[in-house]
Amino acid sequence: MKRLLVVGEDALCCALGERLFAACLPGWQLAQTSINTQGITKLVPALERYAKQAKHVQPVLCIADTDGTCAADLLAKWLPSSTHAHFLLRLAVTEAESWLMADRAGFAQVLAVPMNKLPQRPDEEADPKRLLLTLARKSKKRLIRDEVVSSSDASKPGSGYNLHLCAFARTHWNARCAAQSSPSLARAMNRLASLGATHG
Amino acid sequence: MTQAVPLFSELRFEQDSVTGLWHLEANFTHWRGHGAWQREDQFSDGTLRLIGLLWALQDGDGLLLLEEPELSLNDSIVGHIPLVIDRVLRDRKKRLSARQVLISTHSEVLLAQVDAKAVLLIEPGSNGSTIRPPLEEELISMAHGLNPAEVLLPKTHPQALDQLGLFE
Repeated sequence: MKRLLVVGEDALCCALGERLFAACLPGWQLAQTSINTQGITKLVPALERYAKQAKHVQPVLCIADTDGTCAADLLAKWLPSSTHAHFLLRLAVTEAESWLMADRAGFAQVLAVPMNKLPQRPDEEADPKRLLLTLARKSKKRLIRDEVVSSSDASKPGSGYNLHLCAFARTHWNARCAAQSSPSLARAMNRLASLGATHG
Repeated sequence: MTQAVPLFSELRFEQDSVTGLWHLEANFTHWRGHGAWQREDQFSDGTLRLIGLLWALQDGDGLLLLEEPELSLNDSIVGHIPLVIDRVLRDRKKRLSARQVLISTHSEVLLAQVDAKAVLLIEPGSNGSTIRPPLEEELISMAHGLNPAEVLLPKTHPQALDQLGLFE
Protein backbone atom coordinates (compact mmCIF):
# COMPACT_ATOMS: atom_id res chain seq x y z
CA MET A 1 0.00 0.00 0.00
CA LYS A 2 1.42 3.40 -1.02
CA ARG A 3 1.43 5.92 1.78
CA LEU A 4 1.72 9.67 2.18
CA LEU A 5 2.29 11.94 5.16
CA VAL A 6 0.30 15.18 5.46
CA VAL A 7 1.78 18.18 7.30
CA GLY A 8 -0.09 21.47 7.80
CA GLU A 9 0.65 24.79 9.43
CA ASP A 10 -2.67 24.57 11.30
CA ALA A 11 -5.59 22.20 11.82
CA LEU A 12 -7.43 23.54 8.77
CA CYS A 13 -4.44 23.00 6.48
CA CYS A 14 -4.18 19.43 7.78
CA ALA A 15 -7.88 18.75 7.13
CA LEU A 16 -7.62 20.21 3.60
CA GLY A 17 -4.43 18.23 2.95
CA GLU A 18 -6.19 15.01 3.91
CA ARG A 19 -9.09 15.81 1.57
CA LEU A 20 -6.78 16.63 -1.32
CA PHE A 21 -4.97 13.40 -0.70
CA ALA A 22 -8.24 11.43 -0.74
CA ALA A 23 -9.39 13.14 -3.96
CA CYS A 24 -6.13 12.83 -5.90
CA LEU A 25 -4.59 9.58 -4.72
CA PRO A 26 -7.28 6.89 -4.60
CA GLY A 27 -5.98 3.60 -3.26
CA TRP A 28 -3.31 5.32 -1.17
CA GLN A 29 -3.24 5.42 2.60
CA LEU A 30 -2.35 8.18 5.05
CA ALA A 31 0.91 7.21 6.73
CA GLN A 32 -0.28 8.45 10.12
CA THR A 33 -2.27 11.20 11.81
CA SER A 34 -1.41 14.45 10.03
CA ILE A 35 1.18 16.66 11.68
CA ASN A 36 -0.11 20.08 12.73
CA THR A 37 2.91 22.31 13.32
CA GLN A 38 0.72 24.98 14.95
CA GLY A 39 2.02 27.94 13.05
CA ILE A 40 4.14 28.80 10.06
CA THR A 41 7.02 29.83 12.33
CA LYS A 42 7.30 26.22 13.46
CA LEU A 43 6.67 24.73 10.02
CA VAL A 44 9.43 26.57 8.15
CA PRO A 45 12.36 25.41 10.34
CA ALA A 46 10.97 21.86 10.23
CA LEU A 47 10.74 21.71 6.40
CA GLU A 48 14.18 20.19 6.15
CA ARG A 49 13.15 17.33 8.43
CA TYR A 50 10.02 16.67 6.38
CA ALA A 51 12.05 16.78 3.16
CA LYS A 52 14.31 14.13 4.66
CA GLN A 53 11.26 12.03 5.46
CA ALA A 54 10.07 12.40 1.83
CA LYS A 55 13.43 11.34 0.48
CA HIS A 56 13.93 8.27 2.67
CA VAL A 57 10.54 7.07 3.91
CA GLN A 58 7.38 8.24 2.13
CA PRO A 59 6.02 11.16 0.08
CA VAL A 60 5.12 14.23 2.15
CA LEU A 61 2.47 16.84 1.37
CA CYS A 62 2.94 20.13 3.25
CA ILE A 63 0.18 22.75 3.17
CA ALA A 64 0.66 26.37 4.27
CA ASP A 65 -0.80 29.82 3.54
CA THR A 66 0.92 32.50 1.45
CA ASP A 67 -0.75 35.23 3.55
CA GLY A 68 -0.50 37.65 0.65
CA THR A 69 3.15 37.11 -0.27
CA CYS A 70 4.05 35.76 -3.72
CA ALA A 71 3.97 31.95 -3.57
CA ALA A 72 7.04 31.55 -5.81
CA ASP A 73 9.08 33.90 -3.59
CA LEU A 74 8.09 31.99 -0.48
CA LEU A 75 8.93 28.64 -2.04
CA ALA A 76 12.34 29.93 -3.10
CA LYS A 77 12.95 31.21 0.42
CA TRP A 78 11.58 28.26 2.39
CA LEU A 79 12.38 25.15 0.41
CA PRO A 80 15.55 23.32 1.45
CA SER A 81 18.31 23.53 -1.19
CA SER A 82 17.70 20.14 -2.75
CA THR A 83 14.28 18.59 -2.36
CA HIS A 84 13.21 15.18 -3.52
CA ALA A 85 10.32 14.89 -6.01
CA HIS A 86 8.30 13.22 -3.25
CA PHE A 87 8.27 16.40 -1.17
CA LEU A 88 5.37 18.69 -2.06
CA LEU A 89 5.03 22.06 -0.38
CA ARG A 90 1.81 23.61 -1.64
CA LEU A 91 0.76 27.10 -0.64
CA ALA A 92 -2.87 28.18 -0.49
CA VAL A 93 -3.35 31.57 -2.16
CA THR A 94 -4.13 33.62 -0.09
CA GLU A 95 -5.04 31.37 2.83
CA ALA A 96 -6.53 27.93 3.48
CA GLU A 97 -9.85 29.79 3.92
CA SER A 98 -9.69 30.70 0.19
CA TRP A 99 -9.61 27.02 -0.73
CA LEU A 100 -12.43 26.35 1.70
CA MET A 101 -14.67 29.07 0.21
CA ALA A 102 -13.78 27.96 -3.31
CA ASP A 103 -16.32 25.15 -2.92
CA ARG A 104 -19.07 27.76 -3.06
CA ALA A 105 -22.07 25.42 -3.05
CA GLY A 106 -20.76 23.28 -0.19
CA PHE A 107 -19.67 26.26 1.89
CA ALA A 108 -22.97 28.10 1.40
CA GLN A 109 -24.95 25.02 2.37
CA VAL A 110 -23.00 23.93 5.46
CA LEU A 111 -22.35 27.37 6.91
CA ALA A 112 -25.83 28.57 5.90
CA VAL A 113 -24.67 31.70 4.10
CA PRO A 114 -25.86 33.10 0.73
CA MET A 115 -23.87 31.63 -2.16
CA ASN A 116 -23.85 34.90 -4.12
CA LYS A 117 -21.79 36.51 -1.35
CA LEU A 118 -18.97 34.01 -1.87
CA PRO A 119 -16.11 35.19 -4.09
CA GLN A 120 -15.94 33.92 -7.69
CA ARG A 121 -12.14 34.05 -7.51
CA PRO A 122 -11.20 33.28 -3.90
CA ASP A 123 -7.46 33.30 -4.70
CA GLU A 124 -7.71 37.01 -5.42
CA GLU A 125 -9.36 37.79 -2.11
CA ALA A 126 -6.93 39.92 -0.06
CA ASP A 127 -8.19 38.86 3.38
CA PRO A 128 -10.23 35.65 3.07
CA LYS A 129 -10.35 35.05 6.82
CA ARG A 130 -12.02 38.41 7.39
CA LEU A 131 -14.48 37.70 4.58
CA LEU A 132 -15.24 34.28 6.04
CA LEU A 133 -15.88 35.82 9.46
CA THR A 134 -18.12 38.50 7.94
CA LEU A 135 -20.16 35.78 6.24
CA ALA A 136 -20.26 33.53 9.29
CA ARG A 137 -21.55 36.42 11.40
CA LYS A 138 -24.67 36.47 9.24
CA SER A 139 -25.10 32.70 9.03
CA LYS A 140 -28.62 31.36 9.40
CA LYS A 141 -27.31 28.81 11.92
CA ARG A 142 -26.97 30.13 15.44
CA LEU A 143 -24.19 27.68 16.29
CA ILE A 144 -22.07 29.02 13.42
CA ARG A 145 -22.75 32.65 14.38
CA ASP A 146 -21.94 32.01 18.04
CA GLU A 147 -18.90 29.78 17.73
CA VAL A 148 -17.09 30.62 14.48
CA VAL A 149 -16.93 34.35 15.27
CA SER A 150 -15.58 35.72 18.53
CA SER A 151 -18.30 37.18 20.72
CA SER A 152 -16.07 39.99 21.98
CA ASP A 153 -14.52 41.02 18.65
CA ALA A 154 -16.37 40.24 15.42
CA SER A 155 -13.17 40.49 13.38
CA LYS A 156 -11.57 37.63 15.32
CA PRO A 157 -12.22 33.87 15.09
CA GLY A 158 -14.32 32.36 17.88
CA SER A 159 -13.45 29.33 19.98
CA GLY A 160 -15.17 26.95 17.55
CA TYR A 161 -13.58 28.38 14.40
CA ASN A 162 -11.21 25.50 13.73
CA LEU A 163 -13.65 22.86 14.83
CA HIS A 164 -16.48 23.96 12.51
CA LEU A 165 -14.27 24.68 9.51
CA CYS A 166 -12.32 21.44 9.90
CA ALA A 167 -15.60 19.52 10.25
CA PHE A 168 -16.82 21.14 7.00
CA ALA A 169 -13.52 20.36 5.26
CA ARG A 170 -13.62 16.73 6.37
CA THR A 171 -17.25 15.97 5.62
CA HIS A 172 -18.67 18.21 2.88
CA TRP A 173 -15.89 20.12 1.15
CA ASN A 174 -15.53 19.02 -2.46
CA ALA A 175 -11.96 19.47 -3.70
CA ARG A 176 -12.84 19.11 -7.40
CA CYS A 177 -15.60 21.74 -7.27
CA ALA A 178 -13.29 24.04 -5.31
CA ALA A 179 -10.44 23.60 -7.81
CA GLN A 180 -12.65 25.09 -10.54
CA SER A 181 -12.58 28.50 -8.90
CA SER A 182 -9.17 28.35 -7.19
CA PRO A 183 -6.17 28.06 -9.55
CA SER A 184 -3.73 27.52 -6.65
CA LEU A 185 -5.82 24.58 -5.47
CA ALA A 186 -6.05 23.19 -9.02
CA ARG A 187 -2.25 23.34 -9.32
CA ALA A 188 -1.81 21.58 -5.98
CA MET A 189 -4.18 18.82 -7.10
CA ASN A 190 -2.36 18.40 -10.40
CA ARG A 191 0.96 18.02 -8.64
CA LEU A 192 -0.51 15.49 -6.25
CA ALA A 193 -2.08 13.52 -9.11
CA SER A 194 1.19 13.49 -11.03
CA LEU A 195 2.95 12.24 -7.89
CA GLY A 196 0.47 9.36 -7.91
CA ALA A 197 1.17 8.70 -11.58
CA THR A 198 4.96 8.68 -11.24
CA HIS A 199 5.29 6.98 -7.86
CA GLY A 200 5.95 3.37 -8.73
CA MET B 1 16.51 27.21 39.71
CA THR B 2 17.58 30.84 39.44
CA GLN B 3 17.51 30.58 35.67
CA ALA B 4 14.14 28.89 35.51
CA VAL B 5 12.15 30.74 38.19
CA PRO B 6 11.84 34.52 37.84
CA LEU B 7 13.35 36.47 40.78
CA PHE B 8 14.37 33.26 42.61
CA SER B 9 17.72 33.73 44.35
CA GLU B 10 18.28 31.33 47.25
CA LEU B 11 16.84 28.21 48.87
CA ARG B 12 17.25 27.24 52.54
CA PHE B 13 15.85 25.01 55.26
CA GLU B 14 14.31 26.72 58.26
CA GLN B 15 12.96 25.13 61.41
CA ASP B 16 9.70 26.46 62.74
CA SER B 17 10.48 27.64 66.27
CA VAL B 18 7.03 26.66 67.57
CA THR B 19 6.28 23.30 65.93
CA GLY B 20 9.85 22.21 65.29
CA LEU B 21 8.93 21.24 61.71
CA TRP B 22 11.38 21.92 58.91
CA HIS B 23 10.30 24.14 56.04
CA LEU B 24 11.70 25.09 52.67
CA GLU B 25 12.19 28.78 52.19
CA ALA B 26 13.11 30.58 49.01
CA ASN B 27 14.25 34.12 48.56
CA PHE B 28 12.69 36.17 45.79
CA THR B 29 14.50 39.39 44.97
CA HIS B 30 12.56 42.62 44.64
CA TRP B 31 13.03 46.33 45.15
CA ARG B 32 14.07 45.87 48.77
CA GLY B 33 17.69 44.97 49.32
CA HIS B 34 17.12 41.60 51.02
CA GLY B 35 14.23 40.35 48.89
CA ALA B 36 11.34 38.34 50.33
CA TRP B 37 11.53 34.91 51.96
CA GLN B 38 8.60 32.65 51.15
CA ARG B 39 7.72 29.22 52.51
CA GLU B 40 6.81 26.20 50.40
CA ASP B 41 3.08 26.76 50.88
CA GLN B 42 3.52 30.09 49.11
CA PHE B 43 5.52 28.74 46.15
CA SER B 44 3.86 28.40 42.79
CA ASP B 45 3.04 24.84 41.62
CA GLY B 46 5.76 25.12 38.97
CA THR B 47 8.44 26.19 41.48
CA LEU B 48 7.51 23.32 43.81
CA ARG B 49 7.54 20.86 40.93
CA LEU B 50 10.91 22.00 39.70
CA ILE B 51 12.43 21.73 43.20
CA GLY B 52 10.86 18.27 43.51
CA LEU B 53 12.18 17.18 40.12
CA LEU B 54 15.76 18.34 40.73
CA TRP B 55 15.69 16.89 44.22
CA ALA B 56 14.29 13.50 43.21
CA LEU B 57 16.84 13.15 40.43
CA GLN B 58 19.76 13.68 42.76
CA ASP B 59 18.44 11.76 45.75
CA GLY B 60 18.68 7.97 45.91
CA ASP B 61 19.81 5.31 43.47
CA GLY B 62 16.70 3.30 42.70
CA LEU B 63 14.27 3.37 39.82
CA LEU B 64 12.64 6.79 39.54
CA LEU B 65 9.09 7.14 38.22
CA LEU B 66 8.02 10.61 37.09
CA GLU B 67 4.38 11.12 36.23
CA GLU B 68 3.88 13.97 33.78
CA PRO B 69 6.81 16.12 34.98
CA GLU B 70 5.64 18.81 32.51
CA LEU B 71 2.64 19.83 34.62
CA SER B 72 2.67 23.46 35.82
CA LEU B 73 5.95 24.14 34.03
CA ASN B 74 6.58 26.58 31.22
CA ASP B 75 7.23 24.79 27.89
CA SER B 76 10.68 26.31 27.63
CA ILE B 77 11.61 24.52 30.87
CA VAL B 78 9.88 21.28 29.86
CA GLY B 79 12.05 21.15 26.73
CA HIS B 80 15.10 20.97 29.00
CA ILE B 81 13.86 18.12 31.19
CA PRO B 82 15.42 15.32 29.06
CA LEU B 83 18.78 17.12 29.12
CA VAL B 84 18.62 17.71 32.88
CA ILE B 85 17.89 14.02 33.45
CA ASP B 86 20.70 13.03 31.08
CA ARG B 87 23.19 15.23 32.88
CA VAL B 88 22.27 14.07 36.36
CA LEU B 89 22.41 10.41 35.29
CA ARG B 90 25.70 10.90 33.48
CA ASP B 91 27.28 12.27 36.65
CA ARG B 92 25.97 9.30 38.56
CA LYS B 93 27.39 6.85 36.05
CA LYS B 94 30.86 8.09 36.90
CA ARG B 95 30.18 6.75 40.35
CA LEU B 96 29.01 3.44 38.86
CA SER B 97 25.37 4.01 39.66
CA ALA B 98 22.98 2.91 36.92
CA ARG B 99 19.74 4.60 37.70
CA GLN B 100 16.70 4.17 35.50
CA VAL B 101 14.12 6.95 35.07
CA LEU B 102 10.66 6.19 33.70
CA ILE B 103 8.54 9.16 32.61
CA SER B 104 4.90 9.19 31.62
CA THR B 105 3.98 12.23 29.56
CA HIS B 106 1.57 13.90 27.13
CA SER B 107 4.00 16.69 26.42
CA GLU B 108 4.81 17.41 22.79
CA VAL B 109 7.73 19.60 23.82
CA LEU B 110 9.25 16.89 26.00
CA LEU B 111 8.72 14.10 23.46
CA ALA B 112 10.26 16.17 20.67
CA GLN B 113 13.54 16.04 22.64
CA VAL B 114 13.88 12.35 23.43
CA ASP B 115 15.48 9.48 21.55
CA ALA B 116 12.95 7.40 19.58
CA LYS B 117 14.25 4.14 21.01
CA ALA B 118 13.68 5.34 24.57
CA VAL B 119 9.92 5.73 24.07
CA LEU B 120 7.20 3.21 24.86
CA LEU B 121 3.63 3.83 23.75
CA ILE B 122 0.71 3.19 26.09
CA GLU B 123 -2.31 2.35 23.94
CA PRO B 124 -5.77 2.17 25.48
CA GLY B 125 -7.82 -0.78 24.27
CA SER B 126 -11.03 -2.63 25.10
CA ASN B 127 -9.19 -4.90 27.56
CA GLY B 128 -7.23 -2.15 29.25
CA SER B 129 -4.07 -0.46 28.10
CA THR B 130 -1.11 -2.15 26.46
CA ILE B 131 2.47 -0.94 26.34
CA ARG B 132 4.52 -1.43 23.21
CA PRO B 133 7.82 -0.25 21.77
CA PRO B 134 7.70 1.66 18.46
CA LEU B 135 7.01 -0.47 15.36
CA GLU B 136 9.68 -0.92 12.70
CA GLU B 137 7.97 1.58 10.36
CA GLU B 138 7.67 4.14 13.17
CA LEU B 139 11.37 3.76 13.95
CA ILE B 140 12.20 4.29 10.27
CA SER B 141 10.10 7.50 10.20
CA MET B 142 11.82 8.73 13.35
CA ALA B 143 15.25 7.88 11.96
CA HIS B 144 14.54 10.16 9.01
CA GLY B 145 13.41 13.52 10.26
CA LEU B 146 10.30 12.98 12.39
CA ASN B 147 10.35 12.98 16.19
CA PRO B 148 8.36 10.89 18.73
CA ALA B 149 5.97 13.83 19.32
CA GLU B 150 4.98 13.67 15.66
CA VAL B 151 4.89 9.91 15.15
CA LEU B 152 3.83 8.38 18.48
CA LEU B 153 1.96 11.05 20.43
CA PRO B 154 -0.93 11.38 17.89
CA LYS B 155 -1.65 7.68 18.44
CA THR B 156 -2.72 8.44 21.99
CA HIS B 157 -5.29 11.09 20.98
CA PRO B 158 -8.91 10.09 21.53
CA GLN B 159 -10.29 9.12 18.11
CA ALA B 160 -13.58 11.00 18.20
CA LEU B 161 -12.19 14.23 19.64
CA ASP B 162 -12.85 16.28 16.50
CA GLN B 163 -16.56 15.63 16.79
CA LEU B 164 -16.88 16.31 20.52
CA GLY B 165 -17.42 20.01 20.17
CA LEU B 166 -20.17 19.54 17.61
CA PHE B 167 -22.54 17.92 20.09
CA GLU B 168 -25.52 20.17 20.47
